[in-house]
Amino acid sequence: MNAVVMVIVPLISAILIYLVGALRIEGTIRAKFRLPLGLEVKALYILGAFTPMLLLPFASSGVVGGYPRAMGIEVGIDRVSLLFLLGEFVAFGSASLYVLSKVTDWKELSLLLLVHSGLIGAFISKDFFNYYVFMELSAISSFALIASSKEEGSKEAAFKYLMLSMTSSYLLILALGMIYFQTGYLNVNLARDLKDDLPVKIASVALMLKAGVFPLHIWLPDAHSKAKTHVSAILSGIAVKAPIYGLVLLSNLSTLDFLKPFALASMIFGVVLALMQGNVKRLLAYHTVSQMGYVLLGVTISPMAAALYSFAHATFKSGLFLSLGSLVDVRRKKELEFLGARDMPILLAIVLSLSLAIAGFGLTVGGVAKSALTDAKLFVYLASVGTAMSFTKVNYYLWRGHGVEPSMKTVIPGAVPAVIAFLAGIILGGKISVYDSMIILGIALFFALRTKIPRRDFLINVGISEGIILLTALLSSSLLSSLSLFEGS
Amino acid sequence: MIGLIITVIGLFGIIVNQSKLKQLLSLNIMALGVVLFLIEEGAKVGSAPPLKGGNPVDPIPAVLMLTTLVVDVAVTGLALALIMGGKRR
Repeated sequence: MNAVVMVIVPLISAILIYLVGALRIEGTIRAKFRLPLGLEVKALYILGAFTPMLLLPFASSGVVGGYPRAMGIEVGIDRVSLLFLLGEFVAFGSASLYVLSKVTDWKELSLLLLVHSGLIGAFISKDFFNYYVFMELSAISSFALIASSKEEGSKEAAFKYLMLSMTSSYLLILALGMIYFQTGYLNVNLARDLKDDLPVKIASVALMLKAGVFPLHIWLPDAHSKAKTHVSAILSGIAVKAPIYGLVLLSNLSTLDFLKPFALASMIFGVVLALMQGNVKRLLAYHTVSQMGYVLLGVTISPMAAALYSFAHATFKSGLFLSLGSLVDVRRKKELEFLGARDMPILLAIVLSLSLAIAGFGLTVGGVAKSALTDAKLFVYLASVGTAMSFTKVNYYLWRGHGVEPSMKTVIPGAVPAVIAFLAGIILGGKISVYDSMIILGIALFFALRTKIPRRDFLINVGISEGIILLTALLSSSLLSSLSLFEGS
Repeated sequence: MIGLIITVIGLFGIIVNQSKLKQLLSLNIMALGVVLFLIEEGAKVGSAPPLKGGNPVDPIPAVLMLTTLVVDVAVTGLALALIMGGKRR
């Protein structure tokens, strides 16, 4: 069975949900009793969301339709794609468990399935253009999902994300066009021997914006913190990894070493800003900026390192968003002071184990992924100390207060990634090392500097125009360096 | 060349305009520039339309261009809805 079936199932379910919802096939009895959502819609959603996971062992690589490679669209599941896919399944599966317990709108389920389909399609494609189409499918659905949040400012956040993301999309397709005109192919395995690395540079700057890497991360904190809990988990967990997969595909064409300074800057900047946030969802969003720096560093080392870290980050970030988000949804407040949960040992254990994973504890998948980053060790450990410090803050507030408790149904989805983070770590051969003392150092630093950490949110507001100026500046500097290299050689 | 120039004009439009609607229109101009670039480069090979017979142009850039147009239409609709939804409150 060709792997493309995994993409088609959620796509068809999304369309069927839309038809069932829009045509009101469910009948008048349901409307009479005001039942919130049709059972058939939920059944279709479960079908679309979980069938690809069951189909994964039977999926095979190949060119769709049996055409020769030069003519057709190739899809494939190698080890890199498999890790990205597993991360997608963990993040999307646990978010689906969460959404099924509280969803009231069928449109949202339809959009979520489109994101699911787009992400799977992007992660299995071995063709630049096919990858672009599927990434765009998931991106456009996620704009609508962010805007569907009731929170104030979510429309502005979605519009900013849309403008910045689409600008870089058009730059990306310009670059893909250049790759095609230079090599004659869009297939990753066939497109070789670029005349100059200009298109690779344009494409990687564009993909960097879509992945939310410093200094082009400006849309990310707003978009990810203002969306609903399950949407944040999917966006922060795995949707930002689709551009990273594009960078992995591009690394076949040319070396991407010039991205390393951005990766290091992103790691440190994200952690520093996260330390200064009191809003827990913004804090997690800034940690995504920092973690995307790790992933980008992985891209410059080897595709496997990037894939491993993407899987790790998808696991623990979706878990953190779901478990802390279930608390936020009950309390209706996002500030850490209002999020004490002393009386909920299960929630405390989940958050603690996920915090250990994100700080890189040796037994968890986070530690395994961090040991795969063999370059720039100093920055990796520096950022780890910051991450440990910031998550000590989260746990400190969680252990201190108490209040309304979320129901068990909404806490369990966060437990799934927590268990997977430890299981995957042990399976992949994680063990406790000397470097785990970094976490203890981070905890000690937090308690030493606790009174000095600002309590109010430290906000940096950058508009759309300024974002595009930054993008253009980065683009032109990379183009200039590329041109001078070209003349020199 | 003209395609690239129009793309840069679109980028410049997003930078200098503060109104959301004008920024969206600039984005459309940028998409138009990309479409023109693809058609222009693809047309360098042949002279006839990419149908059967004759000396056809390269069909792949035309396909890329079509997809860009579709994405552009979808995004414009969504962005207009977002602008209107923000104003109604």
